[in-house]
Formats: sequence, structure tokens, C-alpha cells
Amino acid sequence: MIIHKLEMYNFRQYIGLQEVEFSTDLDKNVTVLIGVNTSGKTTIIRAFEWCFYAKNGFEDPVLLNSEVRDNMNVGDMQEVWVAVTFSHQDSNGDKMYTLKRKYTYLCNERTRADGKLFVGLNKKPEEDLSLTYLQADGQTKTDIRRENISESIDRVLPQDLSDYFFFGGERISGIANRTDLSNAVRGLMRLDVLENARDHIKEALKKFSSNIDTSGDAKAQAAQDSLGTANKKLQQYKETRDNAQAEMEYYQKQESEYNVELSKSNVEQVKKAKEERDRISKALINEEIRLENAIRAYVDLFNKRPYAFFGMPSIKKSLEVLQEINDQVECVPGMNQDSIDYLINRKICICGTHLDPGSQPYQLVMQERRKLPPETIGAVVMNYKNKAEGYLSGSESFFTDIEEKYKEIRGIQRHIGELQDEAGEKSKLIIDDTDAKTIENKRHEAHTKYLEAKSDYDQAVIDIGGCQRDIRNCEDAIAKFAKSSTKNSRLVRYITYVSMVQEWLSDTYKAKEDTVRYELQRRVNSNFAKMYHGERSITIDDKYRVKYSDITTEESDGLKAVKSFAFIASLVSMAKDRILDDEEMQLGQVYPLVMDAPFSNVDEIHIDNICKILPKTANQVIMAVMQKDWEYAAVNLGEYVGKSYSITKDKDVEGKEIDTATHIR
Amino acid sequence: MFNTNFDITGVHANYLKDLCELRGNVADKDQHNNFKIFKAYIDAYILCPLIGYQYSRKGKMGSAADGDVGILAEQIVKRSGELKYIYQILMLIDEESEPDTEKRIYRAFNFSEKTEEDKAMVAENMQIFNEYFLGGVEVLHEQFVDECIDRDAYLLKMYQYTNMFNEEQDGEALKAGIDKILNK
Repeated sequence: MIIHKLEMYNFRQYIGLQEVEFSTDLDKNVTVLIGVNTSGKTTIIRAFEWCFYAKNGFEDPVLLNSEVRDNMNVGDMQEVWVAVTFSHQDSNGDKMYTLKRKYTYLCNERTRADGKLFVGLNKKPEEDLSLTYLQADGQTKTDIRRENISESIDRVLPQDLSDYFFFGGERISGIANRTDLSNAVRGLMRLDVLENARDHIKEALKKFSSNIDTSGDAKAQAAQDSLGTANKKLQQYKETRDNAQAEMEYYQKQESEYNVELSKSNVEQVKKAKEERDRISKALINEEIRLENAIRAYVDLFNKRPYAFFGMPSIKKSLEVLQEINDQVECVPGMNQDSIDYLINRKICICGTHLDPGSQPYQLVMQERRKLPPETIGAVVMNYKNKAEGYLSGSESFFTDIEEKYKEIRGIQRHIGELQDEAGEKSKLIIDDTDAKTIENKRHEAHTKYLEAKSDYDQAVIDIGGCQRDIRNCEDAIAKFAKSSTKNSRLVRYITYVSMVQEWLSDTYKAKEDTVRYELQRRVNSNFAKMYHGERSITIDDKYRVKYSDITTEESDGLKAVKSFAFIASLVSMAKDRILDDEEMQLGQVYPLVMDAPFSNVDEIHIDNICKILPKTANQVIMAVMQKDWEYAAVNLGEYVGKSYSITKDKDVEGKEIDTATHIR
Repeated sequence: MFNTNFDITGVHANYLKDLCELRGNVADKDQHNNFKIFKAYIDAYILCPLIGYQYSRKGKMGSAADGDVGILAEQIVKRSGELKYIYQILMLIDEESEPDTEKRIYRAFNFSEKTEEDKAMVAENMQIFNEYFLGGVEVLHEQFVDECIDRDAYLLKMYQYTNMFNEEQDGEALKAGIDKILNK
């Protein structure tokens, strides 16, 4: 989307019709609106928001210009409207749209009391909304049906994302610190398109699978029943996990806040003790990991052919039995069980005796058979010994290995105990300072809560894993049954198709998401490095939150703003560069950046740096700035400015500015 | 032999759940959340018959209402080499079920299940094998689960149990004896 024109008619302090055409020049893509404080810069952002989403952010909800209002008599009607003309590219090419939202106010009261005028307007002004687009001939205008307008707008620029394009200086610092940016990132990169397709196909697959007729097969029926239960359980576990995760994050944040407070403590001893305790905490974490690994290795050792150790008496005895018997088993040389089986089958012995089952000759022959292994006893014994040797090899050190590992575990446990004692000592030092004492107690409490939440979280993750395995098993069982039954052959074919499409979508989604994460991190770091003077390394976590690698320091509002700029600039530039597009899929979109007083929290050096980057990242930059900020910004931004306006107020006869008669010129 | 699913029912199923690491999908996992000395049921299935024999302890399966555990054929087949070896040891040395040495040798080395007679014999032998297995499970349950209250206790017990065996049975001498027979 590129914004071409904004028209406002009697909108708030802007009297009459104001028209602002924005620069759409590729090289000079910046439009500036310069005004003094309270001149109405924020109103411009609000006009966009109202026009697009009917969002009315004003304290006094009446949008009609006050001067116009004051001149109304009972029964008079006055209009206020905002129209935005923008171009947007979709699968049918680039089109020019005009969105116009209009309120018509009716005056229903006009009184004067104590010399003060009061003009009453209808509470619910009549609303009119239209969205038209120009046909390819550039002349014909076509209306989009009223009921489809908000859906169309949502496709062009979803309201959820509008915060990232229409924002004021006071809002910007919060952006990169939000708890979950995944939706915004997916939306901007249009990954949501793929995600929706994937989810839809998943539902279809579920539906097909649940339609498989399992009647007549108890196992499949049971699998289908437990599938339902497992799916429900999975949902519950996921909820538990998410709750636990939110709790973990909450307490972790609390703890680090207390830590920051503690580090502000002026008492040198406390500071030092805290540093020491932090170091010990880190060491403790490492030792605990080491302990877990050692215990795992210990159990592994215990499970490594324990029978070769605990079975030694039996093995020895078995070998002795064979040793003893080796040359005692008398049997017909060269004869084997197959020979006897042949005779039994023939029912006549070599000597002519009948071998009827149950008869004495039969039993004698069978007794002989029992002594005849398929192999000769010598070979059998040899074989057995070889096998024994194989199974026993490597087990010689079973006991010493176990003993050593156990000693190692005890060693680590002792060390952990020492570290814990040490940490306790340091905590006591911190607690000597009374102010710090309260904070330290709170920190400790937060830490305990965090550990509890973490244990809940870990358990939920394990449960989810089990549930998912269960689900897979059930699905496999049902699929296996469906394949073998003819009545489901049609469904099986559908399922096969759907599964393949699903796999393709999942793979594509994943690959594209990886690209987004990687690129975002790269770009945020690079932009941050260009904007911020200090050295900071930034990582993007799984929820696309921006984090410093060193998290303990406190952030100023200015730093937050710089971080958010780096984030938004990166995101918009990725959309602009269409990093996800390929031959089969065009996901990229262009977005404008519309900013109100973006630099209000940022110091001069950073204004400089940010201005160097912004015009290059977005296709279109529109900003309303204060005169004093513009003086700094103009140095770097000047060459990119395609259009420039100033916001001014009419003056009365005495030269005083009239607040309600503002113009953009 | 050792190529089908194996179901354990009765109280021993619960003992096994106490001794072995459990998959996520075990319904009553929460009731068996103690520390585990075996990584999987199959590991217990291989060791316990010899433990049962060592302690002259046999067990009988109970009703599925009291507990139910299954080892998949896939797991059993994968370890069937070791299982058959343990089976052979037991068949060779268990004089209680067969005093005649020749017959013990025959049953230890005859895996064929061609004739009805063979089939019956193998079934009987498997019965013996499984009884010792359950006996071994009982023994280890008493030694570990009944004795240990927390992870550290289990870790200590694993060491103590190994150490006790080593001392009581004189592991060094046993090893030397076996090596001698194997002509090492």
C-alpha cells in the first residue's frame, strides 16, 4: 500500500477542506508535515485511523470542527469526513482506491447560559463509508459493496498491524518490548496466509480422518476413541504449558528487575556480594547440568548389559554344566533331528518296526531325537561359549565404572552444596542492608515462584510429548485399518492427497519462517548498530521479541525507541525487499510508515542515525515533526523529501492563533 | 520365541512401572514418578530372570485389573539375541524344573517349534523364564522402591547393590573362573 492523498473536511481543528498529497516518488519518498507543539500533528495519524478502522481516539468524541459546530442552529446539518486515496497491489495488479468515511451531525440544541454557548449534536451521527477503485481505464470508478469494505481494508492493512505503521513518538518505545510479536511479524510478512492455509488443511485432514468408518474392527474403534481423548488432553496440556510459561516469564522478569534494583544499591559491600552471588548462581546452574548428565550416564552404565555382571554366578554355572557334559552325551554319530523326523513321517523304522505315535518304539526314537541337536553338541557348546564371550566382553569393568560414576556424582553434589552455602552467605551480606533486604526477599520469592512454574512447564512439555506420541500411534492404527478396508478407500485417497499438501505447506511455512527469523535478526542488528552509538548485540527470540544479549542493564526510553525503530525499519524493509517471494508464491507487500513526532524521545545523535536509515527501509515515509526536531532531521533526511507541508493556525485580529482554524499548506 | 508382544498383568506390572522409565502416554504415570533404575521395560525383562534365579524367587502373573503393562514385539525382537542367551542360561542351570542334565541341555538348545511336543516344551520353558523374571522384579522392587525415598537414595542404593553383589559373590573370582572356562 502506498498512500497518495489525505483529505480532511472539518475534521477536528482542521477547518474546511484540507488536502495533502504525499510523495510517491521512489527516490524522494519522504513527506514531512512540520508544525509546532499542539498544532495538530497527532490529529493527522488519528484521521488515518478513523478513516481506516473507525477508531476514535479523542477525549471529546465529536469529530466536527468546533467553529463549525458553534455556528450551527437547531435543525442544521454538517458533515465531517476523511478520505484516503491509496494504491494497493493484489493478484489483479496495482489499483487506486479511495476510502471515505463521513459523519453527518445534526444540531438538536442551542442554548446560552452565563454567557457560554452550548451547541448540542446528535450522539450518534449518521455514518457513511465508501470504498471505490479506479478501473484500468483510469476513468471509471467502481464501488465496493458496503458490507465488504472492512474485509477489503483488513486485507490491505489489518488493524492489528496498523500500530506498526501509524504511530506516535510516545507509542514507539513500547513496540519492541511487547510480549508477543509473532502475529505482527507473520502478518507483515504475509506468513499468515500460509499459516491459515496450513491450519485449514489440518482441519480438513482431521475431518476426513474422523470420517473413517471403523465399525467392525475393535482395535480401530478403540484407537479412534482414544484419539478423541488424547486430543482433548493435548489441548489441556498446551494450556497448562502456556500458563506456566507466562508465569515463568513474569517471575523471571520480576527477578531481573529486583536484581537491577539491588545493583543500584549504594552500599559497596552489597554490590560486591550481589556480583559474587550472580557468579555463584551461574556456577550452580552449570553444576546442576553436570549433575543431571552424570546421573544420566550412571543410569546408562547400570543399564549396559547388567546381566553380564549380576548374572556371573549363573553364567559360570551354565558353562560348568556344558563343560561336564561335553563328552558324555552319547548319540548316533552323523545323525540329526531331521533324520528322525523323516522316519517318524515315514512311520517305519530302518529295522522295519512301525513307529505309531504313542507306541513304545515311537517313544524310544523320540528319546533319541531329544539328544540330537540340529548341530553336534560340541559345536553347540562352542557356539554358546562364543556367544557368552561376546555378551561378557566390555562388562569386566561394570563395577568399577559404576563406582567411579557414583563418586563423580557425589563430588558434584558436594560442590553444589558448597556453592549453595556460599550463595547463602552472600545473600546474608546483601540482607545486612535494610533497604536491600526487602528487595532481596522479594527477589528470592520471585526466584522460588519461577522454579515452581518451570517445573510445571517441564512436566507439561513431557506430557505434550507423550500425548503427541499417543495421537500418532492412534492415527497410525486408524490409517493402517483404513488402508486395509475397502469401504474407506475413497477417504484414504483424500487423506493421502491432503497429507501431501499439508506436508508441503508445513515445510514451506517452516522454511519461510526460518528465513524471516534469520533475516530479522540480521537486519535488526545491522540497523541497531547504525542507529545506536554503543555496542549491543541483539537476538530475536521465538516470539520475535527483541532482546539484548546482556539483559541486566536498564533501558532508557530513548534506547527503547531506538530499538523499536531498528525493529520496525527491519520489518518494513523485509516486506519491501520481498524476501519470501519465489516463483510460486508472491507474499511481499509494500507498506508506508506514518509517524507522529517520532523523535520526541530520541536524542540528536540518534535522530541523525535513524534519519539515515528510514528512507531506505520503507517505500514511503510520512512524518509529522516539530520544527525543532526537523532542524536536526533535515540534515540527513532533506535529500529524500519529496513533499513538505507546514501546519499553521489562522490568527485573529490581535495576531493570536485560533486553535480551531488550522490548515495544512 | 521372543518375537511377539509380551503383556504383564497384576501387581508386577505396577512394580515394573516403579522400576522403569515411563513413556509420556502411560496413564497412571503420576503414581510412578519415582527415580528409575531401568531405562525401559525391556531392560528389566533381560536382567530380572537371572536376579530371580539368584534369589530363588518366582512370581505369578495376576489379573489385569490390578495392573497391566505391555512390551512391544518390536522392542523384544530387537533384543531377542540377549533374551535367548539369558533363556539358555536359565534352561541349563535350573535343576528345580529339570534335574536331568541331558534334558536341560536339550531344552536349552532346541528352539525349534516344529512339532507339537516341541511347542509344548518351549511354552513350558517360557513359563519358567517368565516366573523367574517376575521373581526378579519382586526382588529389585523390594531392594530399591521399598527402600528409597528420593533420588539420592536411589543413586546410593544402585551403588550399594552393585557393591554388595561384588563383595558377596566375589566378583573377581567369578570373573576369573568364567575366563578360565572360556580358555582366556
